[in-house]
Amino acid sequence: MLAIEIRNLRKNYGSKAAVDGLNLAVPQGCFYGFLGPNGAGKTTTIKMLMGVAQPTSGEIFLLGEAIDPAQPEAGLAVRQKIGLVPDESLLFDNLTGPEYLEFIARMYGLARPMAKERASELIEFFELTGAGRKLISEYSKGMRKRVAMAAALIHRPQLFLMDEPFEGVDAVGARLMKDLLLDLVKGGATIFLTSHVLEVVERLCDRIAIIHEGKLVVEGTLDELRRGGETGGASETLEDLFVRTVGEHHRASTDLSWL
Amino acid sequence: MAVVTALLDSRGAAILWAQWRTIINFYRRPQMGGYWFGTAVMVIWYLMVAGLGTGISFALGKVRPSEFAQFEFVLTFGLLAAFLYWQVVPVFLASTGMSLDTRKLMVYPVPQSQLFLIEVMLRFSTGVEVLIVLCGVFVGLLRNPEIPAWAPFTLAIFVVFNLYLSAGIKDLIARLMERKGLREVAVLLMLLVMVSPQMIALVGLPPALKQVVMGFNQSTLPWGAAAALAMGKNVGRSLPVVLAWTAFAIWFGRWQFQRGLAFDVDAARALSGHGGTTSATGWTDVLFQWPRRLFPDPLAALVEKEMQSLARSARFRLVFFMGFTFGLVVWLPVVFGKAFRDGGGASGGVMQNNFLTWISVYSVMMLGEVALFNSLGFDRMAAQLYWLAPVRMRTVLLAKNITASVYIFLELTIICAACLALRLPVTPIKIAEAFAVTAVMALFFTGLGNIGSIYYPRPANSQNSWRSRSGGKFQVWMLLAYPVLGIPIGLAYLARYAFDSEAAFFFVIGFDGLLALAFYWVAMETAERGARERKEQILTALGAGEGPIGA
Repeated sequence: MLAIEIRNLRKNYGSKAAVDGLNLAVPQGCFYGFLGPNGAGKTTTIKMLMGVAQPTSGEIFLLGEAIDPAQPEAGLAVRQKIGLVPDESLLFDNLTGPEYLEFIARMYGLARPMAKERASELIEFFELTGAGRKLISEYSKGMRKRVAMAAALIHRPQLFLMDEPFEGVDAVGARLMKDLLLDLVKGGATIFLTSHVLEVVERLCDRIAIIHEGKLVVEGTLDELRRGGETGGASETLEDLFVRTVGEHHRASTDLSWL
Repeated sequence: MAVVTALLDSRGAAILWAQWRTIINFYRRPQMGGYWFGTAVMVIWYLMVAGLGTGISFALGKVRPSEFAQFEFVLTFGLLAAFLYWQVVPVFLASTGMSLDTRKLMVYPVPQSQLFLIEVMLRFSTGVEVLIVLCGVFVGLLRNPEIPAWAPFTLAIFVVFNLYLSAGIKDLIARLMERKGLREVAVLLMLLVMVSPQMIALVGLPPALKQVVMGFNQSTLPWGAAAALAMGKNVGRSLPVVLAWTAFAIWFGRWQFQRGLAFDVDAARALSGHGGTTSATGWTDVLFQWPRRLFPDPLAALVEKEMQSLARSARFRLVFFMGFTFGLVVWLPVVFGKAFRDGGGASGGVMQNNFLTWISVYSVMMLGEVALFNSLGFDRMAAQLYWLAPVRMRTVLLAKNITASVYIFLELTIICAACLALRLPVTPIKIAEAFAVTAVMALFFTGLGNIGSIYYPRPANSQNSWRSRSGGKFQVWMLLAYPVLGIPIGLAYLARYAFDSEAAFFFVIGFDGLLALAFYWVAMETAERGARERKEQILTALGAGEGPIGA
């Protein structure tokens, strides 16, 4: 079964198409990297998957169930099985880290004692204990990502939707998160993540999709993507592949000649 | 029943708990001066409201039938004021972060119908003051033997009407706020609506017009019908009106809430030009390029940058517009209300004679927090650069002060023009007085602001129209500084009174100007020294939260 299926998805902002007829199939148990340059439509796509933005047209299936924006109540059961690391704006700034985690756990229907216990364990695991009484508005970017990651895990979901989960996280924190995510995938979970850190995607992801200007350009395993190019080959890095795919900007000899 | 089920459900209880924690956390934030300062402010505020409610309950218990017509008028406008408070305050609270944003919950498995009922219940927490006062009204009406015992209970329908409507209005205004062109207009309209009862109360209405207004209120508007119903009057006419408005509020609240959930912030921003290029071309280019003709670089570059960034800040634009619009709307009826009501024209009286100066000082104070008292906080993206670039902090502060002064005097010019257009008694000498007082005050305030910006920097969002993160300690400091800095200006007025001479006034205000210049110079020295010594603390303070200079 597919964990995520997207059919002909489109999202328009005025006359501009942020996502333009996107088709994706993400198998269950897959670590899926969703890449693209700035403004390619990654965050818009993940927002539509999360239900924060409504598609202009197209279909979304999560864990086999259709997500219909016109019938939000119908998708409640499947939302129970999804963990989100959203854009920072979805955090509740005037709660402390432990309060936020307990609150999110209860949103997923966990009983209060269990919510409190898991919140406390996650705070410790993500090394946020020292910031226990601080409000989320006072957290650094990395701490905000860590607390968002903790909130995504608290109800043991099957599918994770993660928007730039490693942004601003230090090397130690990132390693902790990466190891945890790999363990989750080994346990059968599916992870769909966007990231600008190509080394992370290269190391973690089973399959990679690259979108550009709202359209899917390439999709497959890293080896498949390498084989698809005319240049490169087995030694080609994801960065080279990415630049080749979305178009390279060459500096002309006259550019910045004063430098 | 559905409401009770929604609240007893574990998710409903969790949302209410989170709202409670949000309010508590808001009051215990360090910027407010700590938990006890916040708690003390909260306790004093609610004691005042409770005192008002108690006073109302005693007063209403003694109203005699012969006073009922006057009483109904007062109650109608009292309920109108309650209605406006309940509709506007949630928007203020939402932007301060004190109100839980239920829209963020739509990604979680919570049914929308339950979310809506919880949103309605959360409106209780944003109208606690109104509820306390309405309790006072209820008890007072109940104690009055001339009013049927059942009548005060009908106020509950008015409460339900307000709760549902408030849920809808909050969503509607939140969406308007996301549209760049409409945000300031929406806020101004809100403020004008808020002050309208005050204007009506102060200016008063002629008896004939009062009859028409009251008749219209009772037959069509919810607060008028609710007031009549709460007194047991015209039940056959008032009850259907109140019920019809309540049904409308329930429909409107649900409709707007659903639209709010489906609202796409990114789409709205894209359509209203957010995040796009803000190219200054044509006349705006010229408008922002004057500093390069007057000052050398880097001062000119800094002033140009300040002029542009302030003009593009939603918060600055709002206080700038409020300075002359809200200022005129609030102070005009206060100062001239009685004169207009009595048909005596607009002349005479201390307030009326000094109207222009009064409103000018008010607008300087409005601009204070954005342009003077926390000038690094609103500019924190650039703050790091000021220590990295080969430029003295004195130059940076001077550029900020020049920019603030330009906007202050632009505001004052607009106020003068508005007063002249309204044919208010504004003479050239009064204009000169307003400019002189504003100049002295602005000099004192910029000096004080430079010290505040260096010693009490707070991170602030220049695009957020309402959110303020003023430090409690600095606010207390300012509270003490206002009267002290006002003494020299007060002395100028005293000189005019004692010698009955404008020349005496201008002589003293001229001397005040020199004093203010000396104060400004000393303050600048202090600020520059502070900037050298406190660099790390300042950058740490400005980097708190999710900021561009955050860790």
